[in-house]
Amino acid sequence: MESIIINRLKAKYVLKFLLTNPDLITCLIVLDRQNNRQTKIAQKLNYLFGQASGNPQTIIRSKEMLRLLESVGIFDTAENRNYLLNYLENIFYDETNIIEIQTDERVIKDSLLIGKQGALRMQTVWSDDKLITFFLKKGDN
Amino acid sequence: MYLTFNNYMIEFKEYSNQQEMNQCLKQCDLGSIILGQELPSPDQFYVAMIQPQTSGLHYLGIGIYAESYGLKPHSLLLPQSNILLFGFNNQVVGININQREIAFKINLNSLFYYFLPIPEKQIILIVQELDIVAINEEGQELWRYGKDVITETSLNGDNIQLNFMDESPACLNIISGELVKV
Repeated sequence: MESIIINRLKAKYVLKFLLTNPDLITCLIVLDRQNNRQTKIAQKLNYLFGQASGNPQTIIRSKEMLRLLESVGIFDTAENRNYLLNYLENIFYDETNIIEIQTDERVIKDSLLIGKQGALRMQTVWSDDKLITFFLKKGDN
Repeated sequence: MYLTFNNYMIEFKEYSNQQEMNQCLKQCDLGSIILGQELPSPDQFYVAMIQPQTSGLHYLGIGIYAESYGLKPHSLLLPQSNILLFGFNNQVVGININQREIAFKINLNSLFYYFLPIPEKQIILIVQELDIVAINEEGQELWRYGKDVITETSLNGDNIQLNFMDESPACLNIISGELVKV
């Protein structure tokens, strides 16, 4: 009984603290969104690294992206996944790289992905803060 | 190898560069139509050589500039309306073979994947990387839907089930495009 009362007091204190610090609430919301976005990006990296399943076109496209990544020295390693996660997170925050806003409000961003053996042009498609897909092209195009 | 389409034979060819493709199209005495010229960096070049079966050696050429992304263009024959559909990159183009002209063009919001024709309903579903668009044989868009990378499609009666990479599945009525509760 005593512990229940203590927990309720703690919850009440935390709530009161948050209500008097709206900036902190905003910060927590931003961190939560960032965490969700990074989780989704990490899942999408499987697509980029040739591990898609399902219809043949999805698999072919996924394997083609892996081929292009490997051609510039970006192999499927934990280190490179982390590199791409940070790279894509930076792309999300950069508002100067928008090349198209589609009628369905998806945003296409353009960037240069540097690997150890070359570079690729990478276009990413975003819906709000969610990464939808990628287009990779050889750097000379 | 040839494909027969109404009174025509079609031969599909692939070229390694634009010059070779143009050289082929120059031989087409019935004229030529080039698709995908607006693409910024095409790296694939295809020609459909269309030859009437009944009157000597004559050719209509359809050239396609495409950006590969590992995918190849698709073609769908619609014999009732004499339309030859081409799907590639972010577009679907219908060519009327008798009139030798573009009948319609549909701009897509994502990469073309494949056609899913439903003849009994006179509907053609255009499955793309992220979206699905329904059109009729006149090229009129009926509906479109998309929210993430489509990994699987399966037809079930009047409905189509879509599975997505990072989203919950969706079931749509083929005719209306409305979401159906399963």
